Parts: sequence; C-alpha cells; structure tokens
Amino acid sequence: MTAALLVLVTLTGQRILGLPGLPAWATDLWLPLVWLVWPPLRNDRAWPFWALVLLGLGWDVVTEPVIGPGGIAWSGAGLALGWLARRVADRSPVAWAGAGAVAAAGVLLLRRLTLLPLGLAGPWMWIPVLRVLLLGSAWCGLVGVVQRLDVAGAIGRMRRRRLR
Amino acid sequence: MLVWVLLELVSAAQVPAGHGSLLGSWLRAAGAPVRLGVEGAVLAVRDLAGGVSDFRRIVAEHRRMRLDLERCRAREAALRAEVGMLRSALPLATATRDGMRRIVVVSCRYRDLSRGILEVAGGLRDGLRPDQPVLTGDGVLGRLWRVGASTSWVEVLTGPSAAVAVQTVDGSVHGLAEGDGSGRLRIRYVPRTAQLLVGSRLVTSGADGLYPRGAAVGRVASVRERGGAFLDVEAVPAVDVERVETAVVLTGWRGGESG
Repeated sequence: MTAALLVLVTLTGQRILGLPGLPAWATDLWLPLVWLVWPPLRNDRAWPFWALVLLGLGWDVVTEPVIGPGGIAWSGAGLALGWLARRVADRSPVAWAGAGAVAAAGVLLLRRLTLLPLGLAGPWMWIPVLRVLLLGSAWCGLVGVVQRLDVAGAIGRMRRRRLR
Repeated sequence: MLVWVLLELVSAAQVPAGHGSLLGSWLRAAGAPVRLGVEGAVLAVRDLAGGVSDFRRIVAEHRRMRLDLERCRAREAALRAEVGMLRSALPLATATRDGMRRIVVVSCRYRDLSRGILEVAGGLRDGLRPDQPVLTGDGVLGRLWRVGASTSWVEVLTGPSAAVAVQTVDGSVHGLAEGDGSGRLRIRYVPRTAQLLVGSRLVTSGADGLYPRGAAVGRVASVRERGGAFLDVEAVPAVDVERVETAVVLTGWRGGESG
C-alpha cells in the first residue's frame, strides 16, 4: 500500500516536472526510475512482473501520448535490472547510481523497440538520451546515499532515546 | 444636605394640583435620578447590542465584498490574458479562410521538449482533429499529433521528427525546416545559390499542405556552405516553446488551402 502511494507520488512529481514554465530538461529526470532500482538493490529482488507493468502503464498514462509501450519497457528494464542485481554484490551509492543509468538505458531502448512497429519512433537524439541517463543516475545515486544514511532509522533511535 | 432638601421642596411645590400628595411627589422626586439612571442604562445596553449587531453585519458584508473583488480581479486577469492572446492570434486567424469562428484556444498541461511533444487541454469534443495547425501569437507551434476525447498531443516544430515547409518573407528562398530536439531548426534543401542572410525571417510557405501560408516560423541564425548542393542553415524558432501556456488551433483550416 505504501509502495503504491509512493509510486503515485513520483508519477505526480513527474507530471509536475512537465508543467509549462519549468526548464525543458526537467522532464528528462525520470522520478519513477527509482522503483526499478530500489527493490533489487535494497531487497535483492525486483518487483513482480505485474507490478512493473502497472508502473509502466502509469508512466504512459501520465506522460505519454500512447498507452502500452511503457508497460513493456518498464517491466522489461525492471526484470533485467533484477537479474543484474543478483549478479553484482555492490550495494553502495555508486552502485545505485550505476543501476539508475542502466535502468534508464533499458527503458529508453525497450520503449524505442516497442515504438518501432507502431511507426512512432523518431530519430535518435543523443543529447536528450545522455541527459536522461545522467539525471537518472544522479537521482538513483542520491536515493542510494539517503538510504545509506538511514535517516528513518536514526529518527527512530532518537525517539526511543527520548522515550527512555 | 440643606441645599438638597430645598431643591426637593422646590420640586415638590411644582407638582400640579390633583397629581398626588406632596409626600408622593417628594418620593417621586427622590427616585427620579435612580429611574433616569436605570432607563439610561437600559437604553445604552440596547444601543450597544444594536451597535454590535450592526458591526458584525458590516464585517460580514465587508468580507463578502472583498471575496467578490478578488474573484473579479482574477476573472479580469484571465480575460486580459485571453484577450491578449486572441489579439495576437487575430492576424493569423483572419488570414485563414474561415477566420476567427473556427479556432479553439487550448492551454498547455504537460510538455516533454526532448521528444518534442506537448499535451493540451482540448480534444475531439472541441472539434480538434489530427494534423490541424497549432499557433501562438508569435508564430507556428506545431501540429496536432494525437487527439483524444478531452486532451490532445501537439508535435512542436523543434521536435526531432517535425518538419514544415518555409520560405523567406519575399518568397525568394524556399526550404524545409526540421526540428532536432535541441530547440533549434535546421533548414534543409536551401540551394547554394540562394541569397539568404542571417536574421532573415522565415514564414510558412504552405507547400506542405499542413500549415497556412505566411505564419512566422523563425529567424535565420547561421548560414554555412558545405560540400553538397545545399546550404547548411540553422534558425531560431519564432515561438519560445518553453514558455508556451496557451495556443490556438485552427480547426477551420484544411490542408492544401494556401490562405
């Protein structure tokens, strides 16, 4: 339930990033990317396939003119990242950043493949692609740093000390 | 004390005959200040209560009027914005055959400029159809790409797969403006022999059958010669896509009509 709520929050945030007036590059920061990275790196297993498909469809509803390809792209990238995370032991913030870039690349590639048969895949533009990879990596790296700091645990310990 | 007794006597003596005894008159005279005080206090309390009630009514009225004023101000601002936009779009709209009767004003809800798409409020219910031109007061924004029931997606000119046939204002040079996702336009198929200067204005030529002729597209930013038969021309779009909040869809425009 909490996860679903947090996914909704990130999708809403993604929508806000595309509002007129904000910088054009803001939409290249994919906030829901963290839901592909968090489960395998934190809990050593990706979300189930259906949950990843729902995440992708949510992405489509919020940001895409065509609904469907996102479900394939996001679930595929999530499963690939889950497979990769089982083979890499590193769970440092650097690994989180790397996983963010891999997830973004996976989504970009798979979405392009799914759009090709529909005739909707435009020319490949490298600058926006690099921006998505860089921002995705930075965003997931930041989340990795925050979870390494264990802010929630520190607050809990502080509360327990006060109660004593 | 003596003065008080004298005053009482004088007062009692003024009582007309047939209005009670002298003692009664004295008692009434002695009680008069108390009675007057009580009556005054009652009147004061009643006036105070009336005043408080009036004050509360005035405060409520004041609050209601302030709300009305705020509402009117907001409405005025919205109307001003709309009038400004319509005024700037008027020359374009009147240039088309159907005029102002066949336009729909849409507002931008979401945009992803790296992919050159922009979501607007308005769809099939409003008479929008795919490939209708979308303009702002500054010039061409793009064309409707996908149209839903109540929302639509616009392919902006700077998008990676957008293109529009352009010409200089005097019609001496023609080309094809293509977006590249970077916010600029590349003008293709301009012959090497063409006389094209930096700063020249580019407008739609209507040759593509999608856009009406004469709408502003951009301004030439650089002209370079390359080995091939054509010049390498770059242009700055007339519309600042990042700032677009409202636009006009020419619903009356049918491709192929050249204004």
